[in-house]
Amino acid sequence: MSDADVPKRRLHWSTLWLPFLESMGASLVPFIVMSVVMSPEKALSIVGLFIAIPSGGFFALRYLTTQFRLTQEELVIHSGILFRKERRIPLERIQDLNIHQTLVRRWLGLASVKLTTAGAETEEAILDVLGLTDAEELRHEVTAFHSSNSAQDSERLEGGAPQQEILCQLGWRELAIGGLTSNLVAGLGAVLGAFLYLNYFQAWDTGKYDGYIEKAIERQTNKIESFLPMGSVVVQIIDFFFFSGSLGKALLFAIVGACGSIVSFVLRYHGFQLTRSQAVTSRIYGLLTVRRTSLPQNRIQAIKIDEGFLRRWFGLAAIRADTAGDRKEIDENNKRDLLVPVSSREQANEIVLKLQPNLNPGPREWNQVSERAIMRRSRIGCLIVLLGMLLTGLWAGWLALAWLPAPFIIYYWNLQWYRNTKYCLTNHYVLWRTGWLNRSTLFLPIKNIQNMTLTQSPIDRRMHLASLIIDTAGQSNTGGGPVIRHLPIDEAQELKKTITHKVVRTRFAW
Amino acid sequence: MCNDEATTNELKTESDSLSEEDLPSQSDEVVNQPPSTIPINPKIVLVWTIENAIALGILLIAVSAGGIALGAYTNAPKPVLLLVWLTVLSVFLSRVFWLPKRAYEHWSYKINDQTLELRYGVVWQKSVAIPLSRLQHVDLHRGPLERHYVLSTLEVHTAGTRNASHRIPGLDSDRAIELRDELVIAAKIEQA
Repeated sequence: MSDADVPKRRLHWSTLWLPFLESMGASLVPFIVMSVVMSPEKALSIVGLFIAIPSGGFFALRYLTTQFRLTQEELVIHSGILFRKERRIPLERIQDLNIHQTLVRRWLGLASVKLTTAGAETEEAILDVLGLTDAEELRHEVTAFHSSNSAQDSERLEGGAPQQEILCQLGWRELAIGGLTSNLVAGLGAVLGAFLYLNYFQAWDTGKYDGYIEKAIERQTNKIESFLPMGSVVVQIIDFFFFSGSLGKALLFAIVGACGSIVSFVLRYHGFQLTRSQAVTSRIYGLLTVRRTSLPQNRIQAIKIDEGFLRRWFGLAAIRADTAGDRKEIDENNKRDLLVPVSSREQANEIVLKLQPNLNPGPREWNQVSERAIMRRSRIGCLIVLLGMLLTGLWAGWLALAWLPAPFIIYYWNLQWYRNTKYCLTNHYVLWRTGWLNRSTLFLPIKNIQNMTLTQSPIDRRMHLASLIIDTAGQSNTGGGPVIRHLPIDEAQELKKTITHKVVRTRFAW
Repeated sequence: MCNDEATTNELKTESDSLSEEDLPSQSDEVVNQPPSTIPINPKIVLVWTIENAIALGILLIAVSAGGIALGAYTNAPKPVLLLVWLTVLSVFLSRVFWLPKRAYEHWSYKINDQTLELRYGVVWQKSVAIPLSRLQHVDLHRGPLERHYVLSTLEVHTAGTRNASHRIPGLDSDRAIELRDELVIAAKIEQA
């Protein structure tokens, strides 16, 4: 069948009313506010005239004017109300294809499809609303295209292996642990600390609590105590959590926060499954809004294992990956998307090795940056401390001595920073590891390096150091190529030269 | 540098045979210029001097006028005004009389069949390596002053994000066009 014979298709007919209803949901709040300010009839007419009718018309026109056609090589989208636009997206240019299903759409068997390419600032195209079967077909076509194109890649994988291989699956237990150890909880720890601190000073400063509400509730709890068997224990627990000082309150905050963190993690990643069939990895996840994404393996620009502060204790890690389609500015909810939200450290390593077949499993020989960096960084810290000390001295005399431990802490911190900052150059990869309390390891295929810059500040020159900036396409999730600071200049030049020689011998594919 | 012996050795021999003249002879400074590097056109010093003189001259006049007005009609502290004025003056003087020449002296580029290398920067010195196979597109710019001195600025773009594009200023216009075509052809061959 030649390409011209492929029939044009329309969006799902629910485009006529579903996005309209969703947009109406958004104007519910202004409507309520207006109904309070003026009469409900007036509000209704204003919303109807200025919001409902135009948006209803818009979505109707969008349904009527948007058509698409999927041929073997490209996706052609005809759209536009006044100005007709024909957009041709070659399938090989598609970086990423995401299918989103909100709860309502799942009930109705509908989905929206987002396509990203390397060229566009935002999504290249959004097809909203499509039937799930259409969306899956689209995804299948794109996936099949990439699989057939990287046939030689798939040959390298075990020949008789099953079509679809499950790389990672998350059950309730993993999700709960993941939620509990997400950085949100670490943040709550800080809240807890701050709470304790503030309450301590409040009590210290004023010497009294307001105590009005507490007294009122005390009367109630007295009743409970006489009412229930074990009443006193219950009251003690309630008392501990709600009233007796700041520790209880802070603990309560932490527990509520941890639960919230678990719930949000479960909502987002419920039923998470990472699978690979030939050279394309697919993910499906979400409890209410289900997301399906396909990521062709050769599209991955860089991949990173993140071990957050809490996760390192538990031996857990998360994986991030970037394609050239990923932009730095991604909206709040989607920012810093995780390829694998949580897994054990070993499993994360295994997944990375599977996604990057050229990567050697190790053991690795890490190189460190120059030792002079410790003192350099400490000097800056100590200067700040000295300034603080001077100011405190002027203001509060002997209290300035409280700064004395600071230089030691700064030195220790920088020592640990130095010990944990490493790079490794393998045949096909640059590996970059940073972080003492939380650690991240970046795996950057050398073929994806775009350019390299060696820079020297005046201080660098005096210390015979330099920074190497390695630039890659796409950096929204992983942070892009590393900036290796404090390298001895000889080593930096050698490294730049070696990598350049390797880069010119490879071919870059988007 | 890492991992399995055999392949590393192989790489070493390969890179040794590649291009010996790429090796910078001494390594204390990023900026040291082996013979194969090409300087840019010295006329660029004039362009930069005039550009800076105009831009900073306007600033200097504005600051001087403002300072005089403040000094005469308000009781703003005169030493502070003087200090601000002196700072602006020194920036003006250094950027007009000192920096353009130094910047020119530090600018050089080098092109072989695989990479384009740039070296520049007076205070922060940079050395950039751009593999030709990674070039996305090449632009030519010509400002009014550059046109007068028959110079062009070449801008090369890669798919990178942090330092995606780099400029080579102060090229003879003919040379710039030549270089552009050279780069485009090289990029095409590399990618084919």
